[in-house]
Amino acid sequence: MSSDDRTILDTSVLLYFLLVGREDLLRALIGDPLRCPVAVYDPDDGSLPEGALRRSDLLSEMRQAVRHYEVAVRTGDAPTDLLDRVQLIDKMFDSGAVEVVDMDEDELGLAARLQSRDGASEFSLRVPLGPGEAACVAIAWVRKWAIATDDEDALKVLDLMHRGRTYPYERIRRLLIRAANENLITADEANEIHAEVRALGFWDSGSPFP
Amino acid sequence: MPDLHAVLARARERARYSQDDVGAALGVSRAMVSYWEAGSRRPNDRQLAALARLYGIEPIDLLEDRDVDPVGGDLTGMLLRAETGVDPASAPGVQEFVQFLERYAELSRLTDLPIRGLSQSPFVYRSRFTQKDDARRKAEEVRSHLNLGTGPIPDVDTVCEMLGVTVYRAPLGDDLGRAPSGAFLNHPEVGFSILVNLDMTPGRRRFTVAHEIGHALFHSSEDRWVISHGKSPRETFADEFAGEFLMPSESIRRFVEESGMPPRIQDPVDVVHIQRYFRASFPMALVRLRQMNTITAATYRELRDTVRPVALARSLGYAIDPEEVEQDSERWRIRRFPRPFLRMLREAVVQELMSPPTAASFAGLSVPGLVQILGQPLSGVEGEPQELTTEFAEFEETGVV
Repeated sequence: MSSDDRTILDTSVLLYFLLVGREDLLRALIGDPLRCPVAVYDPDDGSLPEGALRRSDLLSEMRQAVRHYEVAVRTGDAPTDLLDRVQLIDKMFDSGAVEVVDMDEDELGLAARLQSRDGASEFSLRVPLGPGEAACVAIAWVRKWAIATDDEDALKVLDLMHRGRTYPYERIRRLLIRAANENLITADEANEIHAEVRALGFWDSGSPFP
Repeated sequence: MPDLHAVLARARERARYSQDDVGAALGVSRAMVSYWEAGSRRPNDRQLAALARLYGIEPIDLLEDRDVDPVGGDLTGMLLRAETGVDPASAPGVQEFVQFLERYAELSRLTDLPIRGLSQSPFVYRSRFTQKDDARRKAEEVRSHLNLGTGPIPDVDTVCEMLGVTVYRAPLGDDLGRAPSGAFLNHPEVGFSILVNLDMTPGRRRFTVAHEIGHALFHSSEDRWVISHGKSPRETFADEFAGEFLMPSESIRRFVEESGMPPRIQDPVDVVHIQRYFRASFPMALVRLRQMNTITAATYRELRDTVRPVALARSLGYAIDPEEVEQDSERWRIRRFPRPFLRMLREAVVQELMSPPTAASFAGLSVPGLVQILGQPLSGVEGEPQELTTEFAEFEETGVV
């Protein structure tokens, strides 16, 4: 099986590009459509009845983020435009800019292993990966796709699976560096976007062009 | 791969959920759950992970047909069997509580940070306390033990932290006749733990914390778990204890006297002042005043039926919490967790024992929710008021620092 230059997107990358309103840049870098597993974004959990929203940990990760910003806007902890931006995921799906990838049996089995305590210790993790990260790793491994994630634990698992060999991956900082190198934005703009995602809570402490 | 449908049915039954419960939790019809279990439809990948989480097992247990008991399944079962007549709709909330406690214990082991949980009451206990005077004396004793004096208690969660009691909040239903207000459990690793029904009003939830402290400190040597529901001498004691603990009668009398209020209160403005001083809800203040005979039964009914306490408090210049106007359990998504747990989770991320997304999934939080715990702003740098800089300058330039 060989790579066909497709990339599977994890929540961290998708969420922060949406929050800074630069989904256009993400699409230019990754290519249309943006692909993510159903654990990252499930179009069907957008209109669930009230009862089902009581346990947000049962929702897809992007929907959990939407719910979080809905409350943050209500309590005055976040401005409305952040909610509008993260909610854009639904419109992107409707327009075909986001595509949900279903896992096959092999991927499902691998993702389940990565979400188990046994699987975590096999890959020297303290706790298992979450459903979104596990699905991205499984799809990236089985289909030889690139993965776009800023989850260190997910990348650690892929490092071990590839036994030190290189494999295609993207992180927010790498994407911004690539965007500047491909003249999609300037280096200063890359630094500004990175500073903006950090101001929104993104945990990377580096900078694209120090 | 074994037949998923049969595994799904068995896992649900072991977790003591009905197909209706599962449908409600996942936002699908009961018929859809039935199709999944009959094998005519298959849950999608997200639903499969959600089912495993709901049942307290791992997705691999479903895929590999492993008959494993749900995390904390025994404790959940014991709690649910502790009281007859409890609303079956409370089961998911009780399950969530027990699963949280198991995760808390796991996090403690992972981080090597101890849970400073109380597992034995420090208070002398010789017989079942049922009398009103017992409750009053014991409330005074607990306040004295914590050096709380006789004044208002600003934050009951801090009291629980001081005592070593873990508080978790989950929805248990809003049917007053059947839904429990809360529960107490002496967890083998976490120690004294309290569950508060998130479906009840903020004032009632605060009362429930104090009520469950009463069970924890004075009934735990006889019962390892209690579901607070219905009427019994034990429940009456816990109610009396909670009232005295949050609003000590002696302290109310002193406040009434020193504020120049009449000994027989009739004016709703006085009740609002008492309520706000003790940080209690208007109904709780009114109930306490009635219990103490400071208001007559007729005044109680009149004030209960005619006063608009939030509007009145606002007109008197008191700050109003948005939840006083509209109950919003969504706001408790993060605050449902006890602060020591959130600190421990934060420590796990800071020490790089787990990545932020893994930590979010571990706790059942969104990525932005986890980020909030890490102390990161949600809304960019423009969120802080300018006055902070001005205030620092005021301190520094006037020589205070």
